[in-house]
Amino acid sequence: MTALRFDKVSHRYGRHPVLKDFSLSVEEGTIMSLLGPSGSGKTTALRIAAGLETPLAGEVHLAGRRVNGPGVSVPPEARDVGLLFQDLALFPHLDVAANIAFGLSRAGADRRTRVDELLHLVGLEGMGGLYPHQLSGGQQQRVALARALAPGPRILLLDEPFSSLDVVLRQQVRQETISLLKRIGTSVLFVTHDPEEALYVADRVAVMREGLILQEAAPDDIYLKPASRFVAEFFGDTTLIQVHVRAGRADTPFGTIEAANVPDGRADLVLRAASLSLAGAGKVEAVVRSVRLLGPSLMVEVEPFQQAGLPRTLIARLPLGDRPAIGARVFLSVDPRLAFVFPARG
Amino acid sequence: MRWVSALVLLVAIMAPLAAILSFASADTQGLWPHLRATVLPAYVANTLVLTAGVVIASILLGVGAAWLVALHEFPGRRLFEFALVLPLAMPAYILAYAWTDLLQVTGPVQAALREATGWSLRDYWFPEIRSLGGAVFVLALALSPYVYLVARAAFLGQSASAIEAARTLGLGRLQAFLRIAVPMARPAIAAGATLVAMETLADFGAVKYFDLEVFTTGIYRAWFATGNPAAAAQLASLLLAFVLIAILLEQASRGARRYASVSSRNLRPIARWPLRGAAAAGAIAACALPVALGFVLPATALVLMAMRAAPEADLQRLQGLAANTALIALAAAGLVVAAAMLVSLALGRRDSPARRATRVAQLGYATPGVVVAIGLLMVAGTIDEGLRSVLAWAGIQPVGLLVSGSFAVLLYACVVRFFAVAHGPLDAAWLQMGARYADPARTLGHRPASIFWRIDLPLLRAPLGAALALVLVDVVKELPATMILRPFNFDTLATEAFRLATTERLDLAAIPALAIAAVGLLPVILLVRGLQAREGGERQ
Repeated sequence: MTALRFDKVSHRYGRHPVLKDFSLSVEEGTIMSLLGPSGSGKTTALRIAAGLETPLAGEVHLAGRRVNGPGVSVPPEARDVGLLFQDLALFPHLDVAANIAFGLSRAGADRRTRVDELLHLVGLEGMGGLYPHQLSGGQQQRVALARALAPGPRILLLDEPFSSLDVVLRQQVRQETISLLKRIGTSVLFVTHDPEEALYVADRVAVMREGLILQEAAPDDIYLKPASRFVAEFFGDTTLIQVHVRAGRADTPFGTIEAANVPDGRADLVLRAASLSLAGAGKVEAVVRSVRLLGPSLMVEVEPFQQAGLPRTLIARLPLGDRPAIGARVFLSVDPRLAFVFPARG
Repeated sequence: MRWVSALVLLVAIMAPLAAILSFASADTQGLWPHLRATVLPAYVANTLVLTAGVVIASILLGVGAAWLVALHEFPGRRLFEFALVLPLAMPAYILAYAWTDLLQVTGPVQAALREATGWSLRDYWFPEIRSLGGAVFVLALALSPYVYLVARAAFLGQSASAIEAARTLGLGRLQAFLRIAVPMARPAIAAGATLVAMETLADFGAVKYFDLEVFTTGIYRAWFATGNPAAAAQLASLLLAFVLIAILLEQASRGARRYASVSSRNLRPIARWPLRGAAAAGAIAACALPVALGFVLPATALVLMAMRAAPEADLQRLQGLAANTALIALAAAGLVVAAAMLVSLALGRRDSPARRATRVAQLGYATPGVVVAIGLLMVAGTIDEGLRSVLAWAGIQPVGLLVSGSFAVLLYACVVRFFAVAHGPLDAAWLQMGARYADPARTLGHRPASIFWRIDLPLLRAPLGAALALVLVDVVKELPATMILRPFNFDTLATEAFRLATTERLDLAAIPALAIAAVGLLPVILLVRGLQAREGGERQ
């Protein structure tokens, strides 16, 4: 069963199109990351799913029910969706329990039971009487999650929900939240501009740009089999090299790399930094210019001797133990699983 | 469409203005040429002199005091910072009553002078308070806090770096103030001065009491003494032109300059310059003067006058006046705030051209009370005529006027005058809140109406309360519209004080005047607490 389906949805603000024939499905019980740079239309898609924005064309289905389409526009309060905002937007004049109970229609003891249940679920037992400003950032985050989950939504929509937290807290809260969502089996559409976060939280990732879905796949496939140069480069830390393709194989300074489905002629080779190796018998001779420690890995800048067809310097990522000496002569080789060939642009 | 209700309200607010302008083209039966030849030059000259005098005096008093308390440190500075707002509690006409009592021939000042010198009445010259100069004196004292408030905020909001840069470039302290701080604060000072000019042009109570020939008194006379609506409308149009010129001058003074505001995070406020000895004493004296002349002395005089008159006071009548005043003020404040909330709601939660169009409601506030009242009499008169002919057609002979002189017209005038007072700050708070809480509330299953009662209203409690208080006090102080539009035999504290003062019972007038001043303290206290809260927050 599909929890949420966009079917050729188009929307614009004034003259500026934000979604163009946008189609996407979130299967029940799965977490879908919608990943894209700011201005790609991902938040608009989320607001349309919530009913806060009405699309100009196309259809939206929630759990098999058409909520947007010709002559149909179900208001947000009748959609059964949960929404967790970037700024949390806890109601400042209501205590924690009243915030969580805000979406509950049930009265009396039943209501209290459900609030207690949710406080327990997010680990805030006994804090129902506190007000939002008395809570830490992480606790506020959990209250907002409990509030969104309280009415038992068919799908939970998350809009960059962790971006207001600092780095350490963010990782912890993210982990807690995702394991909780997995435990209760909620369907989730998760909007983010952080590629690492998208890979971390999701069962499926959809990469978006200028109102269009460029690729929708499992996280591994998004990273290891990017369908376009944009998707490959969106994860950062890449080097672009101009190459030539003949009969499905790309001629590169590092040797030939498979390039199925790329037409003959000029093409772009995108190298992930982690694909470059300094050890072994590579074809490209280079000298190490600088080595920088970036926490879990080293960033190494190398300058090839033969400049033909190569940028002046290349960036490699190495494990901490493989620290080369500055000025050392090395031979570069490429792991073809992290090197991608695309037809040249324009 | 949902903005239709907002449109209807705005049309209603503009209706009296439109009536004035359309009546202005009517035939004056020869009165206009007569007016133009006789009193008009005096109206124009007096109005110009009065406005220019009050504006200049207010800028000197207000900017000077703001410069002292914002940029210097001296004993009593914190007290003066707030005491300088106190004159706002008293409308100009009440200051006029108090100062007349203080300075008239039989008043304490001249009596003390004669006592000290042994002169008799004919031996000396003493300035007459009931004159154009007296009006400048009284209005400048009453209105200079507006300039003080904006100038002080502007000086406090300036970054120290600009001044320090000027100092390192070789300017002295005073030079740096005059060449950097004042020009940077100029848009704020211009806005304050414009407000002062508009309030001066709108003043009726003080100038009428001083018997001055200016536009507001002239309009009143043309309507009530001469019974010539077209002439009144023409004078009112001219007065509106003066108001418009004041607004345009302010816009022009900004010119093409842009004053980038530094975000408060990067702002390092200017360190206060410590004053000692004679300089400190001079600063104290300079700050004490407007507080003493604009509040302490007149308030004391009013208390003494009221005590003198107390044995004669008719308590029952005073209670009735207080009840009438409370009735009209509460009804008007409730109506205005409800209308303001409705317009905000109707225009959604985002900024839009329609929302910016509601700023024309500020014209209602800029329009002098006399003009609003006369415009409304024209509107009401037209409606009455229509009703009369409809009723006559139905065979009914109504007695008297139905709409004119009704409580509803008075309320209408209050909405026209004070809508912008409530709507401006309320709409700002509404926009600032935006859809931040409404969006999640909707996805949690609540309909817009439920969200309004459960989220919006509780969160807007503070701005709603402030708007209610501001309008309430403005209505209590309001004189000309109430005087002109009140139902027959319906007196308020303001109209009673005016009636007693103009019938030479100044000491009796002090009792209702004191009541008005006491109510007038309410927004001053709100303002001071707001200033304290905001600055406390900035220091954290």
